Amino acid sequence: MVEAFHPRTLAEALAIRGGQAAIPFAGGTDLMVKLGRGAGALPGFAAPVLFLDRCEELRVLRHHEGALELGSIVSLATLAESPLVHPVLRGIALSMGGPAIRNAATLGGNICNASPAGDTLPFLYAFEAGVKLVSSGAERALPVADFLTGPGATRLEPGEILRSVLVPDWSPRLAFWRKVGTRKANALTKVSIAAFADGAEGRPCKVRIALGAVAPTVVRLPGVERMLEEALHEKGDDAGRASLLRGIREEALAAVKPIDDQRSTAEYRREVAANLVVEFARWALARNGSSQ
Amino acid sequence: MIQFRLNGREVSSPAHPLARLIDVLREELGDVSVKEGCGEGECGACSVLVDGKLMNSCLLPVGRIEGAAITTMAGLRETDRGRALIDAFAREGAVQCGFCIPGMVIAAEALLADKPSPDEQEIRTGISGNLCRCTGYDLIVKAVSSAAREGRGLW
Amino acid sequence: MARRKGPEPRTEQPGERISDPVPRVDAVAKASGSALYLDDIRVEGVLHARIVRSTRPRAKILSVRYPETPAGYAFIDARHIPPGGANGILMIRDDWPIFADREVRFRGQTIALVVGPDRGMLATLAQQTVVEYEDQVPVFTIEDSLVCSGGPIHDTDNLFADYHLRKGDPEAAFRAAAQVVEEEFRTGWQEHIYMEPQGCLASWKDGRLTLQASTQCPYYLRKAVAHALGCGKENVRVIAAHTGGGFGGKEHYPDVLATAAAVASHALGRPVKLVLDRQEDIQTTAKRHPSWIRIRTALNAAGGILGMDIDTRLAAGAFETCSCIVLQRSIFTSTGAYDIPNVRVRGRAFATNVVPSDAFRGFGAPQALFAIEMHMDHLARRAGVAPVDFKRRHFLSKGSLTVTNGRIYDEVLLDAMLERILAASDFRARAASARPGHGIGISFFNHGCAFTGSGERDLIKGRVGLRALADGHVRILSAGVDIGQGLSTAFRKVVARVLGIPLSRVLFDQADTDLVPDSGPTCASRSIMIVGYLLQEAAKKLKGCWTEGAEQEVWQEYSHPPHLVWDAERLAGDAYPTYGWGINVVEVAVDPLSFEPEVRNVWTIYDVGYPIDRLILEGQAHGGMSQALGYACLEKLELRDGVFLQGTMADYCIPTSLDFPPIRTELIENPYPFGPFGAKGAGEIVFDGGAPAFAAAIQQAIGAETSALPLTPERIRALAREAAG
Repeated sequence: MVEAFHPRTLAEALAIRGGQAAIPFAGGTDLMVKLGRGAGALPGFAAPVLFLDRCEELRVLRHHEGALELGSIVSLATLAESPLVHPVLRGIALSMGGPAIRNAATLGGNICNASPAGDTLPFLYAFEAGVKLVSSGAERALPVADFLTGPGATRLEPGEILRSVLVPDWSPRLAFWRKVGTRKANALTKVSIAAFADGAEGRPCKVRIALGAVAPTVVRLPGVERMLEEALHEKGDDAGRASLLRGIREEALAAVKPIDDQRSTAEYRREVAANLVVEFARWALARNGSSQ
Repeated sequence: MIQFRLNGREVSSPAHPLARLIDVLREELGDVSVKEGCGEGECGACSVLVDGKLMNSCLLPVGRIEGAAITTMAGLRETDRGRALIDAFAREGAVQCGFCIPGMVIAAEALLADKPSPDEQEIRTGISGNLCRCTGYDLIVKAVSSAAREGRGLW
Repeated sequence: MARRKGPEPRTEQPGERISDPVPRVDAVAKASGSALYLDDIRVEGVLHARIVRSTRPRAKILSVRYPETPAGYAFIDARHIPPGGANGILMIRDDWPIFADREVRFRGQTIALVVGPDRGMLATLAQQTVVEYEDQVPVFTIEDSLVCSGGPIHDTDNLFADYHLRKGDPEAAFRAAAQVVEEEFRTGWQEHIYMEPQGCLASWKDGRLTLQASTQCPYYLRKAVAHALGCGKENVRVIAAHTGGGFGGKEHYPDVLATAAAVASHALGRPVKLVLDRQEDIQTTAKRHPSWIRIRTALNAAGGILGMDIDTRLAAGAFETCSCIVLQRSIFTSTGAYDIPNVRVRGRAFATNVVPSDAFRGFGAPQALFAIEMHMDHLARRAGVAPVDFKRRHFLSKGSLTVTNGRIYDEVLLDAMLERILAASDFRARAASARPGHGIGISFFNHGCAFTGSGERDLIKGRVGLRALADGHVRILSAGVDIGQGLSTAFRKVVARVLGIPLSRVLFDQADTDLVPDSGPTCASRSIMIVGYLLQEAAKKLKGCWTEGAEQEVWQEYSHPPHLVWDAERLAGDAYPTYGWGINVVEVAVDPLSFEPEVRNVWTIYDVGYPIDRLILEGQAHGGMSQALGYACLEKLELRDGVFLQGTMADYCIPTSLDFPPIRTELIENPYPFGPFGAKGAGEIVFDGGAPAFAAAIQQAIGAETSALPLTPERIRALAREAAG
């Protein structure tokens, strides 16, 4: 049976990770389900396990150099309650699992699990967040969008541990997110959106839109973002607006690659994703020029 | 040996650190107040408190909780808070088959420890990780509310 | 029609009514975590067991190769059935083998048990077993079963049953029709998801098999285990553990586990504990029968109903279980709460290569009620009449002829119930003012209480005893099991009230077949009405001969109300002694972006005769509706290659505390003379009507007719798109 390690420092953890090819174990809420072998049986870990929860260096939650640094083992419960965290990410954390899951599950775990339906991911993509990866010898940073390469796949190298997530400081004027799940709580995601708009008529505008669970990895919509940035910057008319929204719908429909699975259908995900994008756009245009 | 505290008592387990806490509690330490409903962290029947935090013991390797204080229903029922909750559940008709209830009571304790006077929505959120097939939840919500009211000063 | 004589009117103590709530007698033990469920039971020397399962939906078994077993481990299969026993699980028939040896008929079917001390090792050994199959063409749908794809699975035509009912002159009705409306309705599987997975503990010792089990029916288990071992029923003792939910899933299915565990224990001479993990339970235990019901209605020129022709098809799965009885209840409930003249009904239960379907709360009625409720709703719309008003014209009433040519002998209070629920829900105003995306729906339904026809008299022959102890306690002797429905409290209340003693002096232990008579299975909404009545009568007897300080015993045998008439061959006459009645109203809003339905409000009203405990009834009404709404819109089981895609608690979604709003409940009293204090069955009626009320509400919200369950957001989207053109 494989060994389990419970180091107290990051340095110790990295030595074990490098030396034993150990599996990093944060909250374990995905790993224990994936590898469970039933009651009275040890879960089927094929490599030694590295419990990270005692490494306080991985629990940072601080403002640093224009970004919020979130340690990889910060729990979803902590994320949901911290005033330093963007309200949308707080809301997303609160929408994941149930209270017990949130006490154990971590941001880092959600990222490294790399599920196409990972709930924190659209927010991180929309905010163009980065990850800090650390090994015994080195440290490197990557955009989250580069770190995640496919379902269950990341660029984490052997010997590396995800140290923290860097969320750039940004307080967009308009924030919109929605999780369409299999039920109202403790639900897996069928489609999700995180969308933000900043700026106003006559001023530079920045729009970021990300969709989850509609492709192998999160989908950004650069075409729609540019269309909307332009529309928010210029003053448009109603006819123009209707045609713009139609164009946005077409772009969104074309950008997603959803599948049929046990939770939902490609057809449903495609239409609902487009509905959510168009709803964001419609709402953002309606709020344009308003004081908020 | 993995040392931790169970319901206030120091215990020591020779189990492998990857053994599930629920198995150590039920098989080795004889605490069957913790129930297994799914083994996937979905139903909450296995809920315990780990240093006061609500967690699913089916997803916790025992090595991960080394040194922690674990509370199960077997311990909670010996306290005033536990008794207040049990009485409220019994009084309000919240117990049908009962299998989910120890987990529900543990979740209620975690909720009331954090929010001593929760409203209905807060109660429903507090137990949203505990599934019940018998009651439709309404009388469980009523029981938690009743415990909070009757047990003034306990939380 | 002969007027039957009811028994003497019940007496009530002045002031307090029996229906006033008391804390359930088992609530504290359960809430404290000290009540022992099956897996909590610890026995010296016990061996765990794990099932080795078929990986094919339909195949001949060519060979089975077990891996080498370490000391202390063994594989148990058909070769270990004792001489005189049988490799068949005796439910109604014993067509389902305990251990498949020549063929498999569904993925997950038991081939063997692997038994030993460590469950991790058992999982490994089970995985290492190699079975060689010769695949056959599997049948997964009623359509394929109808044409016997790949050759018949069962008999020559894949039919476990083919029943026909006839009321009036349906042929004449269709000849006279100005118009015929034909519709088809479909419902899917549903899994019980009792919170306690299935399990049992079998111990063969000194020529007897003692079985502890999570079960609704200890005597069914006794019969099945005795048949398997060939040891005589007197050598089988069954003890019901605290049972963490059943809903019908623990009516027959426990026989599957118990027979295998019993054979293993007999072969090894050690106690054997077999407990399913949840994913196994979802994939391989019995489910609600999927249905495909076609209704053709003959209408006159004014749009009035002349007659109906109903074709009910249920997917029964690989073995018979109680599919014939489910089918019977389904066809007996074909016309629901309505008096339809001239009806022809055909019902068939089809064999498929899927886990066998079996009992589930409602037992065939929910499927029939969904079809008839939606159909009547659609007929109403075609006639330009509000469904409420169209439906109420056809209500059954006292004296009506049922679809089996029996009679409704008791008052039907649907009109009074309707007035109350219309007022409580402000139904007409809500229906009239519903904006697009909003809707409100109503359903009417009944549920025949207790066993079909003469089943109570000829099959069950229930019997109870009361034993008065010298110290003044009275012990109830009945095999009824409290599965959460509050039976252990309700039984005690009946006896305590009749004897005029405090509740605390009435004892009732978990069923032990060595100690209690067979009062019948815990199912069919019969426990309070039939067994509770036997207890009431026994208590009256005991009261009449009560001697202070003496040990006394009285027994009560079931006595069939003499006015009931039933022909079991022709399925004609009084299918049920009486009925529960219900009306549900559900209000929804459908999200315009995601098509997710939100249930905004629920109102229910039930006639269950009289509630032995109002709070117990309220809890049952809440739970039943929650389960019904799950059936209506959340719970989905899709089959691919004979495996359910939604095989975990994460993917098979039952409602959480945040999914549905509080459920309003109301009861109307309508005492039934042959129920204790007038009580009738309640356990299933509280489930029966939720789905059609929900579906009707969705119809209004999206402006499209619905005819299939579950109404997931995906299906709602598709219907809305179709309607939009």
